[in-house]
Amino acid sequence: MKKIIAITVIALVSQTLFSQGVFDKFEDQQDVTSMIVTKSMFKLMSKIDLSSNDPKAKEYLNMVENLENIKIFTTSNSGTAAEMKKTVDSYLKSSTALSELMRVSDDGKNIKFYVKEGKNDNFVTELFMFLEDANSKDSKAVVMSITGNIDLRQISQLTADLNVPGSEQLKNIDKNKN
Amino acid sequence: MDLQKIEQLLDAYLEGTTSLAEEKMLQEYFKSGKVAPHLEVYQDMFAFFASAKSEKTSVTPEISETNKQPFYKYMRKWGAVAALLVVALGVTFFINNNSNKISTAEQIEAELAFEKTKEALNFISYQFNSSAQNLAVIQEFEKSTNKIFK
Repeated sequence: MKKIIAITVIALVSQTLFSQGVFDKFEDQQDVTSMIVTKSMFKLMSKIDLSSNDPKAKEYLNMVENLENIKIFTTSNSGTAAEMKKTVDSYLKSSTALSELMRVSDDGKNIKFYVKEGKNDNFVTELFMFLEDANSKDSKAVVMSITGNIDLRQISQLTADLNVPGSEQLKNIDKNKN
Repeated sequence: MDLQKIEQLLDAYLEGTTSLAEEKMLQEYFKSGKVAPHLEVYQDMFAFFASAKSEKTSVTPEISETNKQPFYKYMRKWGAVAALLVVALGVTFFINNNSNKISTAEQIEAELAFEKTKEALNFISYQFNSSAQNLAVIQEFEKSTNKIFK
């Protein structure tokens, strides 16, 4: 009996440990553009000499310091896009910690946002996005996963100045909560 | 010297409270040979002390050598510790000084990665916000329905 319990525990644990690696197989595929940035690179980034460019760079750096990983997979091939969708679905099913944040379907575009809870309401440990666009030419499917200590408010603030009405609402969310 | 005095001195001697002069008196008494019978046991003791004084060794200890040897051992032991400390301190200072500097090659790579990361974060932020845009529409809908059904 003990053996069975031990084996199931190990099987479950290893599943969550290797769950992110599910998408790594897309890295080697020809028509997939992938970008993966790890914590060590984020540490290097925080040591960059900031005297140059953007004043907003500081904002980004503050965010970046708390990140563990960023993984992005983009494909322009609809076959690969379908494959990605399948992998995403199975990933979402297998990981019970990811809960749906938002799902939008608009004009042939399907976007899903999933989050893994963080230390409090405003923080998430993983932000997962899957975008499907059958009409787009070069990004038929985009899978993006950010892990770390992510502040959702900060994420939305990054492009808040682009006058997207939604950002106003998001900024007010926690004000209304309080 | 009368017996009582000797006995007093002897008791004091056995307690360790006699002065050198008193000890000398005891010695003289026991050397003299006219020792009281109940004190004869002590005679050997004082005789031994007397002769022990005159003992001379044939071996002269080499003082200079014994001083040097512990010194080398001392040096080895604590010298190793000191050397270790110096090396450790040197390494920490070296690391501390270098930790905040990155080579220009790393700087260039880091900047490139930073740009890409900014792009990625912007992308997700934009998608996030434009999706939430639809929530704004729903809010408008709620507002208008509230007006109608008030």
